Amino acid sequence: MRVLLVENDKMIIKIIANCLLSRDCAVVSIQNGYDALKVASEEHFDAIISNVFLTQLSGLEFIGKLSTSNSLRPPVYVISKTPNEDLEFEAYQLGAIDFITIPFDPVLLIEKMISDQENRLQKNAPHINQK
Amino acid sequence: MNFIQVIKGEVMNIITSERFEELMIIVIIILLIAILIVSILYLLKISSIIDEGKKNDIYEGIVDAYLNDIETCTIKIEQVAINFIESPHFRDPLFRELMTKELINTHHYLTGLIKNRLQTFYFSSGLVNDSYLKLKSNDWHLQCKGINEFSEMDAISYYDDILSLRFNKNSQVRLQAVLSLIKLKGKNAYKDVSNFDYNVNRWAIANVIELIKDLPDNQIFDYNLMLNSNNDAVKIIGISLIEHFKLKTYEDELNTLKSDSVSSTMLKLQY
Repeated sequence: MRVLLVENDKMIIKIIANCLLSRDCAVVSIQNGYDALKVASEEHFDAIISNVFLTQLSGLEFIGKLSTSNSLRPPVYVISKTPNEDLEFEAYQLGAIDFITIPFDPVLLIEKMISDQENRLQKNAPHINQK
Repeated sequence: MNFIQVIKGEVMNIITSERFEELMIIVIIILLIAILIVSILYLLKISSIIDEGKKNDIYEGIVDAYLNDIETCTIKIEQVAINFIESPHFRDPLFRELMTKELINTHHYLTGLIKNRLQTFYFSSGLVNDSYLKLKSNDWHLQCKGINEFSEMDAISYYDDILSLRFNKNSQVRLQAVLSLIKLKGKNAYKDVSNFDYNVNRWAIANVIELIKDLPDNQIFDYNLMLNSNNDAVKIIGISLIEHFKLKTYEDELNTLKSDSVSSTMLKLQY
C-alpha cells in the first residue's frame, strides 16, 4: 500500500510514518498543499492522509482540487488538531472517508485504511472478471 | 575640607614617589590576570554550551530510535525499556530529560495502543523516578515540571503526591497541582481541589475552566457543589462552565448567586 501523507507537523509525520512502515506500507510525506497536489497528480497512491490546516493551500482546498483533477482519486483521511463540526462536515462533503481529531490512534487509522483498501479491491474484482 | 586635602596630599606623594612605577606595574599585572581568568571562564562556558548542543544533537537521534521502537510495536515494550536502561547514555540526566520530553510530546498526540506503550515505557524505564525527584525538589520551577510530567503521562499512582502540593506556599505550584489533579481524575478530583481558602487569581481560574471544558466527562459534573463552595473562585468556575455548556437546570441557582453578588467583589466582576 502506498500512502501520501500531507502534513506539516513533524510529530504527526513521525508517528504515522513509523506506523505505516511497520505495516510494510510505503509513505511519501509532503508538507504543503500545492506540492501535494502536484505529487498526487503525477504518482499513484492507495490512500491520502491530509491535515486540515496546511500552508499555502488548506487541507480542504487540497481535497477539493484533488476531486476535480483526479478521476481515480484515492480515499482521503483528514486530520485536525481541534474538533470542528463545520470543517468535518465540509471534509465529508468533499468526499473524505474519515475526519480524525488529535489525540488519535494511529494503529486504528492504519488498520482502517488497510481494510478500506481490501474492500475496494474486493468490490472491483467482479468487474475485472466480467470483462 | 581638611580630609580632602589630606587625601590629595597622599595621592600626590604616591605619584611623585619612586615606587609609583612599581605600583602601576603591579596594578596592570593584576588587571591582566583578572581579564585572563574572565576570558578562560567565558570560553569554558561557551565550550560547555557547544558540548551540550552537540550532545543534544547526538541524543536526539538516539531518542528517536527508541521512540521508533515504541511506535512500531514490533519489539516488546519491556525489552525497549531494558535496552534503554542498559544504554551507555542512560546515566546522563540530559539524555533522560530529552527522552522524557519527547515521550510527553508524543503522548500528547495519541490514544490507544501506542499511548499505552509510551506510558509503560515511562514507568519501566525509571524515567518516572526523575519526575518524582523533581516533584520533591525545593525549586518551585522543578516541582511544576515534575507535576506536569506526571499528569501528562497519566501517572495516577502519584495522585496523592501531587495532592500534597495543592496547599504549597508557591502559587504556581498550587495551580499546577490543581490542574494536574483535575486532569488525572476529572470530576473525581473535585472534592480534593474545591476545599481551599487561599485567593485564586483570574488567570488561574481561566486555566482551570479551559481544562475542565476539555475533559471528556465535563458536562456531568455536579455544578451545585461548585456553586455552594465557600470559595468565590470555585463559584466563578462553576458559573462560567454552566454558561459555557448552556445548562438550563441551574438557572435558579445562578439567579440566587446574581442577587448575592453585591457582597463579593470577585462575584460582582463575574456579573
